[in-house]
Amino acid sequence: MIYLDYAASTPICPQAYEVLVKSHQDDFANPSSAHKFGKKLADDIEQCRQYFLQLTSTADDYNFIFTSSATESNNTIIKGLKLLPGDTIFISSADHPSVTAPASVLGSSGVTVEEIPTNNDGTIDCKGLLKAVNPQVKLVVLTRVNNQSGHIHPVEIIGKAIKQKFPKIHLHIDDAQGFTKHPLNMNAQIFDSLSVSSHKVYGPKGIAGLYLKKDATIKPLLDGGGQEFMLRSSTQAAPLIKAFTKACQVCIKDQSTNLELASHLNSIARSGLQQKIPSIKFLFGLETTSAYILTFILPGVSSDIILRHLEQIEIFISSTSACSSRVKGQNSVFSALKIPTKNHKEVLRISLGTMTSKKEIDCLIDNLCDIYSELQYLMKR
Amino acid sequence: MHYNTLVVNVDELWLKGKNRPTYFKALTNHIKTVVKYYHADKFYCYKEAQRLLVKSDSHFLDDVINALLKVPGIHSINPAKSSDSDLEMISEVAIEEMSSLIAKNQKSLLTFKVRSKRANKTFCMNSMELSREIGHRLLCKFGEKIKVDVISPDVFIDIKILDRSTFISGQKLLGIGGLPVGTSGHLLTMLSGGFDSPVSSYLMSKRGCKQSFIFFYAYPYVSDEVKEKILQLSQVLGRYQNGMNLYIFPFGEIQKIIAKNCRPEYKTILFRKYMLDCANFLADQIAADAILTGDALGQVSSQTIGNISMMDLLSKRPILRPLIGLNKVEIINLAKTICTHDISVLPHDDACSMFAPKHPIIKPNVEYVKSVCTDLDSSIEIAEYFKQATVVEILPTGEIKSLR
Repeated sequence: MIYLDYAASTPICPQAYEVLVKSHQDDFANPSSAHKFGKKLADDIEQCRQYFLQLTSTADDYNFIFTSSATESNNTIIKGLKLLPGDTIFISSADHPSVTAPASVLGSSGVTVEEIPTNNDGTIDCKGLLKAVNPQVKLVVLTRVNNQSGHIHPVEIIGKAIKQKFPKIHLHIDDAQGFTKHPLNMNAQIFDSLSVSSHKVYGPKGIAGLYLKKDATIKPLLDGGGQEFMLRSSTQAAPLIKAFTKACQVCIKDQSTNLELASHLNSIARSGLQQKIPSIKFLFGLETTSAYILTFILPGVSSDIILRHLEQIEIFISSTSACSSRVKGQNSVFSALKIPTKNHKEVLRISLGTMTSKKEIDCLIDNLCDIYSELQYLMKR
Repeated sequence: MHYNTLVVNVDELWLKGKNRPTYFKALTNHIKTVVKYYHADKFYCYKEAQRLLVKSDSHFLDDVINALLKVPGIHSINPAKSSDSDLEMISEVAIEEMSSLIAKNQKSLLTFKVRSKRANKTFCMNSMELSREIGHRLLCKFGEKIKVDVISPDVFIDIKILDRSTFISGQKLLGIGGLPVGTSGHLLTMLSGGFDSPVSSYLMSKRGCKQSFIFFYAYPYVSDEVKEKILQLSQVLGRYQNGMNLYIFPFGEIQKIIAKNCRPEYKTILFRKYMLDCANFLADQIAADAILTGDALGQVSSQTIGNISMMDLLSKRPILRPLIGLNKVEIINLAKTICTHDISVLPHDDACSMFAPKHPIIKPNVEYVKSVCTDLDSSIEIAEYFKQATVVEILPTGEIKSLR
């Protein structure tokens, strides 16, 4: 099997798996219980929390809330700010559905939802955004690494400029794709909140996190026992939290090595594909995108058909974001990324992981070339 | 109103002679199967005076009645109340029934007609006398609220005096009519995700054909979404059948072989030819008498008279095409009636259109087709592909029982 869909989800790393299995066996008490067993788990969770806060040097000013998914983290902010009709928020249609869908819910209740302007290459038009932001704006959501295009948006710079103009705007960062893969600087305390996910960083599914400034006022999605600073009532999943933490530790330790390897493999993939399939079009340059994500089109052939041919030989890539892969025809994410409508059905994405090898990339290139040639031949006849 | 009797009127029986018992038997079996799925309590289904009676101690819910209205061969159903064949008792039930009709119709003046049928000739009045008497009693009871109209009444009160009992009913619900399933042979229906083949299947269900379905699944050229569509369509069409199987036949590889090895303009017709071969192969296994398609003359290039003749020439079995003379709008309207329209309209990948040649052949050369098929036959092992087929069992309720 060749798995090149790490942006959709990653396998759990051995170190996190070991922690998870042991903790599932041992840590069954309720961390909210008053007895020693429960208190011990509450302490363990606190240590994990401190790890995340120290990782970003934000212990004094932020809380770190464990949630079930980055989707939940994004929803917690977008819905929890309790915005009113007349308020304005800025998001991008290129964002993940966990941002666009709750924003659309706000839109139907009278909140104005504005589109973050983009340049022709799909990057954020920072000047345009600054010009558009006004005193009615209560929330700006920025995605640090776009899951589909791989764009790395300079959220620190954009955020700083916004905050200088309107300090009260809540600035939320969706960092599900960037966290632990690309260095993150939260020192300037520009962001009011930031979402991260475990299953994108070789941790288990069902656990994620939300950095949130201590002075932010958020109404929780769930009411109950008041866990996680009253923001996420639910019995804390100690085994998942511990495994998530371990996975992050491993990723952070190898962050620069992994990034170098991904850049190297990305370059190999680009040049190899270009050489074997001259008609291939890479949609975004390596200089503006994450080395882990490579998006391209093979003109004239539906990406879904290529995807299924590859899956037959156990090679797994992506045609659209896994969370919206059932969307047919015109794709609003692709439109926002300035991909021409006629090419929407041809967009393919490979996403690399820490386990990806050159051999796998070579194998993908060879097979993709053969499949594309055969399909072109069959369709042109 | 609660009804513990359903009077089932049978369609087209007047056309039948000595084979009439066969039709009653098939219909009775189908009715029993359907009622069993929806009605938990004990019930009886028996023939009385050229109609079928379904009776139970508990009342029948709408689900049972709606399901029965889709059973081919049923002309109509009167949800009825039974009474002894006694004028006073008949009159009492007729008043109850009218009272419910007045409440339901909410009209200031409801017009009505009493229709009586007296199979039991020992009853004290003839049909006309009985209708007149009950009509009179209803008018006395409800006064200004109702009025007789024998030409075009709002409602009917139907009274059937049979040998063992009498039934009174205020409603007649029309079924789909036709012939009972299983009395007109076994068809293998080539089902696609479009409008035509589901309508075709419905029409032949009405003509009493037991059906099995075959779907040509062109993976990897199409996604499993089209398979989902086929399952949904089968669930709708299964309600007109007394249990059936859907065979999902892998066809992507076969299409690739054909597309690579024939003249481009012949691709579509050869896809059709091998679909027919696969269908005939399956028909041999399941003892089907004929193949059913949704062809309509001239609708697309593969349905020209030339291509249709070619298919008939190459098929081992007769090919039934009930839509042959229908316009697309007529087909779509029928699809709306049988509730397949909203499923068929969903977009899906279509391998045939992906492979479609720019100029498909409309007057095929028989010699070329035969010669290319000789070559293709050696590389297309239908029996081998058949081993990879999935079989889906659809219950008479339309539910999927099993996938294997």
